[in-house]
Amino acid sequence: MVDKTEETTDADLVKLALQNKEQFLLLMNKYEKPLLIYIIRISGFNKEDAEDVLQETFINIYKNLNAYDDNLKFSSWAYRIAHNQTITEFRKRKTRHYYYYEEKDLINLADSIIKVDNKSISHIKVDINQTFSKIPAKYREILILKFVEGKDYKEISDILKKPLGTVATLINRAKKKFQAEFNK
Amino acid sequence: MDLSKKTLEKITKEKITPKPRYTFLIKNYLVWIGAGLSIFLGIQAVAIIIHLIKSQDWDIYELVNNRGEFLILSIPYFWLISLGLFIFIAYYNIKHTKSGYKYKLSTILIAYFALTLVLGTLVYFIGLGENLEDMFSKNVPIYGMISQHRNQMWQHPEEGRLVGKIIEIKNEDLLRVEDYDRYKWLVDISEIDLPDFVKFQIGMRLKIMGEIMGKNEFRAIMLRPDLPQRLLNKLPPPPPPCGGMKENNNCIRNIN
Repeated sequence: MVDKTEETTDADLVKLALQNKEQFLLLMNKYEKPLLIYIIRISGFNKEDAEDVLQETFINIYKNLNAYDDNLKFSSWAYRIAHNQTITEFRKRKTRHYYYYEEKDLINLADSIIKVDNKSISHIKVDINQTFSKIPAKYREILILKFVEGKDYKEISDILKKPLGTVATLINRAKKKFQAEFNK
Repeated sequence: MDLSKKTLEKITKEKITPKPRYTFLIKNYLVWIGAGLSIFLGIQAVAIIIHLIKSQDWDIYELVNNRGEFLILSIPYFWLISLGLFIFIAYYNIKHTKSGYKYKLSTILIAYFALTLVLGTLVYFIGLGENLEDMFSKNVPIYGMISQHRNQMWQHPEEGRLVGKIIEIKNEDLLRVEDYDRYKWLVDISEIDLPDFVKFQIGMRLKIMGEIMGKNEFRAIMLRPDLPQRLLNKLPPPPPPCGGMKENNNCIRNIN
């Protein structure tokens, strides 16, 4: 199979996958890594559990391919399904989760929210991680999308299915909540 | 084996296929039809609400002792609650359209009210509001019972207001009227200058202002047929209550 992901759009890949399920592999290959990381980031699942969630996510995407509207970025649509699948799994499992973020994620977060210089990051890494674990899920998710995944407001609006104004409000509240919890 | 390949194997092994496009189209059409229908019904509700408020007996407002009760009884609860329900259905359906999530609750509410208010007013002026209300009163028994509360403000003989139907025409000055509580009143209409076109009939429903003169006796100083507004509009204006003799909102009557 030829890798067509470079020259074809996601919408084209969706059409191809509808004609031949083997072509769905192209979409899965493209989104496997970013979606797996996103699932781990918002859920705190270990890699094996996150892979289970991702597999279910891909199957849901495949089942609903005919519902894809190319007015929407495919990545936003895929993130939305991954997000919903993760929330569903998160509710099913009662285990305690620990959120782990790579240093560059923490730098992005800290720089955007609490204005800490990069040198200090390594000292307060644990504090940031703990703060992130303590704040409500809705704030954690939106901060991850904005400052870790680097999504813009429109993409976040499409992923979380919330109006743009609500996204802006949620981000502001989440930042304040993070700051308050971090300074405790 | 990587996850994508494993997933593709699972799709193949379990014969998973994409849901047909028409299932999503049907769902999409249904939510739009639901939204459209709730907007359409909201327009009718607004037209009826305007009609009910405008057709209230505001001309007797100043003559009523308990104006608070008058105002409370004037509120068209049934249609306001229905409008609330239609708004909820519209909001739910719009939110479930493909791009419905982009709109805030306040945006949907403002758009809904603006649309139903403008088109509902238009429908009212066409005269459909009254026709619809009339149709509901006649064909929906529960609605008929609910809408009766508007006549309760006329069911206060002790305050000089009486509503009921003629059960007997004794002579040109005396009528036997049965009110909503099934009390029978002998109503003296001798003080009213009735236009020539007025012809009383058994079963005719009347709203009467006056006062209790004795046990089950009522003296009328003003009466009007209890008719839909469109029919009342065709009638000439009634003579003023108390023959126009009024002081401090009370009738001055010459009782001999």
